[in-house]
Amino acid sequence: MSLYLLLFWTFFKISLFCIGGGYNMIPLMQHEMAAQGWLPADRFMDMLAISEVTPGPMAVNLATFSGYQVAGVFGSFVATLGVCLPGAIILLALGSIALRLRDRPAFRATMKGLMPALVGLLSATALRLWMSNLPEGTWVPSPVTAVVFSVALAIILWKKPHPLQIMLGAAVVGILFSLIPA
Amino acid sequence: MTHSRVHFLPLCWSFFKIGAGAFGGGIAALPVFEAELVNRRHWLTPAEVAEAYAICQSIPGVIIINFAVFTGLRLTGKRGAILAAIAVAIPSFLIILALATVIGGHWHNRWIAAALSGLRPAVIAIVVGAAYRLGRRSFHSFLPWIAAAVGGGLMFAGWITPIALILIGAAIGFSLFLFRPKHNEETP
Repeated sequence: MSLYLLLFWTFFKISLFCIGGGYNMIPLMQHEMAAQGWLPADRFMDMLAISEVTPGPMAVNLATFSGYQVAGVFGSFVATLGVCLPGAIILLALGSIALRLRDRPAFRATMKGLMPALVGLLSATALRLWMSNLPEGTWVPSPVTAVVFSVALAIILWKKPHPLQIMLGAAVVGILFSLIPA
Repeated sequence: MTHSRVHFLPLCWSFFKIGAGAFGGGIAALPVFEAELVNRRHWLTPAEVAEAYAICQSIPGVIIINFAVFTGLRLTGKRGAILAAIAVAIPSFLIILALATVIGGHWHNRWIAAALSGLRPAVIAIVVGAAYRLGRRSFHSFLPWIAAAVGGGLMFAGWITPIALILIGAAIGFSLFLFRPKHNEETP
């Protein structure tokens, strides 16, 4: 299979199995990128950070960025197309049936069963990213990681900041830490 | 209700602006939809936006893309739906492409590396927060938390792929519905 076709299919599959949008797509993408050997977890995290601070849907940002990293401009195009198509096809095909689907008890029960899976996936992915961000050969995080992670998590759980506020603050703290002479 | 008065050009322009203005995606984009489609264009009511959003969240894919297709379909028809989806995706596609070509060779630049060293743990905190919020919102007993821990453990160990875990979760939810106790109040 050509690389472009594989890229398209991978992102189509990721999108097709992503329910609820937003952050739920992160575990699927991280897994596929690592499984295909396209992006290690730490580089994936960098792209996630950039996708958070640039406008537009995060999933489209991630697909465009990953596609470009893997196969250049045309790669970013097929990856973006792949991530956008499943939902569009379903909506165009179902039309008004999609409107009523949500009220079906069977559908609601299925969604309810999905929730623990999604929470588990997000937690496992967070743990994987955490591990990939540890300095080599140790379990102790770097000072900047320890400070930013605990402060950011406290703020996120306490109030509901816009992700952009968290990210901008974190970038500033990262730069300040780098100015401390070692 | 039909909105045949809506033309393709304003529709595309509105969704282009939504694509350029919505940061982070998902629920964070809802106010941007409302500002453009309700307050400025008067194409939809706040209730219609909320309903469309809920529907787009319950089918696979990217919520904002789904929202563009759904709204385009409702306001103009199939051609408008496709145009709206393209319009909403174009800003992020172009911005990211420009950024990727710039940053691509400079991952080790001193300032970029320093900013990323702060951004990485923030991203992890955001993912942890998303997991916790989702659980708090949708779990009403401790059982789903255990199920989440087991599923997450299996995935972390590499014994199960995310797609398999999602299918298992859906299958469990559906079978709990099929074999639910009849003539009985729902058990937690």
